[in-house]
Amino acid sequence: MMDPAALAQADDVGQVQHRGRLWRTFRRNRPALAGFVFFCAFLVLAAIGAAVTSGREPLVDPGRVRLEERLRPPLSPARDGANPPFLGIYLLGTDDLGRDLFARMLEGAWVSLTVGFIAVGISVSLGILAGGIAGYYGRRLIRLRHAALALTLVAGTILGWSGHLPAGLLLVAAALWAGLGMRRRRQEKGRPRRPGLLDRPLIDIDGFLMRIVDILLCFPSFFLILTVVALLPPRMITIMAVIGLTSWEGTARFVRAEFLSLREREFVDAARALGVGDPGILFRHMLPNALGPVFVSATLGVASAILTESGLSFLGFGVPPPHATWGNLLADGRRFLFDAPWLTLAPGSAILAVVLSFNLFGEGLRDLLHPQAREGR
Amino acid sequence: MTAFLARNLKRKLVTLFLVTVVSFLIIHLAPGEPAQVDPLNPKFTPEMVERFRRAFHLDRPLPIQYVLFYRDLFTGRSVSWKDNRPVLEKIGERFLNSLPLFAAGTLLTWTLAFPLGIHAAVRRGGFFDRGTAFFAYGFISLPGFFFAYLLILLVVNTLAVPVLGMETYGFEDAPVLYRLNDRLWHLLLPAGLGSATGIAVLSRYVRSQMLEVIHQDYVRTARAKGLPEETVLYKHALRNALLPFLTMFGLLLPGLVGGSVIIESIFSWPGLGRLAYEAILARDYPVILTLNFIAAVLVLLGTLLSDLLYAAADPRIRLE
Amino acid sequence: MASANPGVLLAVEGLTVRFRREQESFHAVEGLDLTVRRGETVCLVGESGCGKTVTALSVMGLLPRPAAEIANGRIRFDGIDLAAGAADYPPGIRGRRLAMVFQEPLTSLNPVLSIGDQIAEGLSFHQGLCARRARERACELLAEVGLSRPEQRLSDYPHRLSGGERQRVMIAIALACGPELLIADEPTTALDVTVQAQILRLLRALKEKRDLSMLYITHDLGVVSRIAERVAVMYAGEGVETGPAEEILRRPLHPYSAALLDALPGRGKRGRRLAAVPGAVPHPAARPPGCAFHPRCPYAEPACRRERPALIPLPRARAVRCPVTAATLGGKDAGR
Repeated sequence: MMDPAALAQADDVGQVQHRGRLWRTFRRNRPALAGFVFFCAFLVLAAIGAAVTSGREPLVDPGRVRLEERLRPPLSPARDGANPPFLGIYLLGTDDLGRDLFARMLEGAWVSLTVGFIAVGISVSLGILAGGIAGYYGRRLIRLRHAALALTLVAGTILGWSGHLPAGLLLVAAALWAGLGMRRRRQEKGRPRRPGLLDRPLIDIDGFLMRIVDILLCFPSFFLILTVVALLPPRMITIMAVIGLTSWEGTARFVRAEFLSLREREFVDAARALGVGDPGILFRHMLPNALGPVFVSATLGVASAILTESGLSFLGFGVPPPHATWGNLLADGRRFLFDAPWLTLAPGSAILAVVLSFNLFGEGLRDLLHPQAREGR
Repeated sequence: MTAFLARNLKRKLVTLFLVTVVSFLIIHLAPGEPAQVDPLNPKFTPEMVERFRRAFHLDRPLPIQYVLFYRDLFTGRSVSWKDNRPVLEKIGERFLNSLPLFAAGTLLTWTLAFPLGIHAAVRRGGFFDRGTAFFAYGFISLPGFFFAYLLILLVVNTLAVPVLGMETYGFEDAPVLYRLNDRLWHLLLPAGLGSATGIAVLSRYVRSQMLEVIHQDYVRTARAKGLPEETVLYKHALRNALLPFLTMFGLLLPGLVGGSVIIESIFSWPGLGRLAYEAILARDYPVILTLNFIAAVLVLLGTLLSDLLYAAADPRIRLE
Repeated sequence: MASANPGVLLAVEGLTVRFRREQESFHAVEGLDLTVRRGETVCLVGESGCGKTVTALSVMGLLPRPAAEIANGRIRFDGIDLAAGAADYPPGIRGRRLAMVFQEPLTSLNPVLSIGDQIAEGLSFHQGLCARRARERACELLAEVGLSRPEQRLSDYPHRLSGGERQRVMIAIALACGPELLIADEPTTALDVTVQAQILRLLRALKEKRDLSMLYITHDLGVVSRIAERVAVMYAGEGVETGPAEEILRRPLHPYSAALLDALPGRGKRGRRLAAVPGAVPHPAARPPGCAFHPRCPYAEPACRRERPALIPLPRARAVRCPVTAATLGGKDAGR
């Protein structure tokens, strides 16, 4: 038997040594490498775009309306000397209000990226949280008193929100007081009490979370997103939140599976034997091991969030003006499909290229983490 | 087996109940009100709004509204707020429109994805594999409606093929064969488009599944028996590779309702997806909630079906 | 040469198998010679990772492609060249005249096909039996390998069988078409000790009854003493010693064979601490220069570090790849 401290270190050390080799392998996967390069280029471009299009006197102004320059094709020189576009030509043409499409695309890059990243951030955090709890604490039981407590809290909140403020506050306060009482009693080392009605186990935590996933799966996801986005006031944060809130099950599922198997591994036992507490085990020893696949699905998730946003834009529920995203540029462009195809082609190809690069990069990462699929044994 | 069914059904009924509660809450707790009862809507007098609220129980507390709503749903009495037509009738009509689109799309997806994926796995790393991978990634990464517009541009400019709607206007009196031909042409583009992404995703999945199985020990055993390569691949490997797809087969059912809002919008196809979209725009709660309920039932039925299919196909699984 | 010696069924000469993974490439087997005569059981012995299984797969033409390929050497089965390349492996040999039993009975049977199907399909393909006849024959085979209630077992699926039973089924599949040579790749390693003995007994009985030739791969010298007529010892992809089983077990010449024997518990060693071979088998990609065994060898001389020794033929049909101990034949007991 190895000494537990060494064992607890072993996996981490192995990973570091592995890294150089992984990078070499990744570099040989040419589509993935191209995806990665494009991905980085896009990040830089989006950052530059945000820098030059924002502020009071932007270098490139996406909002400038020049009605006499409407629907000019790409590469046409500016006729209006007063408000010249970048370099004096409309690189990608202009839209129906004479706005410089190139400038709008630059601005949109940053917004699209923000939508993708924040939506995925929400979904990944939720997924890790739910999957981690289900995988690590999954066998603990939810008892009747926990359920009663949660119900009281929710009822109090709803009451308070819908106008009955005093009653709501009372319920919330009662719930908090009962909760603190439960906590205190658990910490007391008194004689064991006879389990009462309130201690009846209802379901274990794992089962509870899986139930939630079951329910979520019952809603066709695009339909659900559409419903919620349509019912809520149109704001960018709503869209990001809804996309994030409806796409965490996948992450949760494999974080759970990963945690279930990691929990039985020797280095976790070893860490526990050394007296590392739950948070230490979770964050230092288990989470880093589960992060690889999470990163893969996050990369693929950004791609699909950008696509979803463009779909919502098409239906008129996308990120609202004045923000330009590639999705709503594309959706707006379709009105001029035959007269000004560049308004469709430019944002469409940009989305295609970015989503493709994210997908290729993500798939390359997946191959790296799942070598059987890559090479014959 | 019976025990499995009983337990499973009980669990699914509980889930269904929770789904109805959640969807009801989402709709009713969201800020804003349906156009018909919006006091700001100039078309309605306060009396009309009041009458409407009473007629649709909107003056009752939420739990009662819930019970009344689902009572109406099950007894077939709920009507659309938009045009006062029975909800089920509206849905049934649109369902019949969606069905050919769904059937054609599914057929295309499943008949094309499998040969493509298997072929790519067997010729792994070859020209065919790289080619399909290229196209698959392309389709997966294209916004659906952008692709649709590219196709429309292409088709309208080069071929004289009807594109929009379910049939050409004014063809109602044409001979049956003409009409059939016309409708098939109308079906072609939306169905092909709807299945493009599906084919891309599914064929990649088939490929990776097949690759996983090809390296199993039992495939080596089959080779050691001296069987021809076709038998090894299509009898020993494929049978195992196909197992996970039975699960997906059950999950096709909800596609009947989810449909494709975007595709139907582009091609002005009066299907269920459009109906859902219009209902959401108009805050036509009965239609939204009924569609949602049907979708949930189909999802739950689909998972049950895939469990049963899996148990039938994999001797290792026993339903208990 | 095989043609020169009519008794030889399988002749492997100078077999070198190259593996390519990423950018590195190495020889998993290097310059291996091996012969199996008709009706003879030969044991291929060595620690795990020394290239035994790769050798067996090369003979069967089942090397994992495209990672592995035969880089050099010849494999002749009854005068037919098998090493011409995996793609054009001569038909009518594999599964018919040459069969193999694998190490892992748990994963080597197809989980979604019934036992009967899996035995019968080879029969239908190679011998053209109709479905009913093939099934009857499969039933006889199951009885022959000692499975109880064979008729019922035909329609069972592999997951219903125990490990030992599955290995019996694997043997039945291998024997279905009456092969002349059976390759058994550690068929008992994955099984319980009591079941191991049963399977070994079964193989020995079948060999007598059917007049089989057998190439038995193992790392267990205890098994060798019970089944082998001749032995070939492998180390890091090379054959280091061959000869009659009795001779080698009684007086191993190569220091590695001697060390293996020393690590075996046995009579006359009771109460003594078992010797372990110091160090570990090198990965074939990192084979040391000179004699591959020299870092672990108690008799290593400076020359061993520089020059790769050749296989030295000795009297009584023996050969050893060690000039130091070969010189002492007839002198002191090498290795003990």
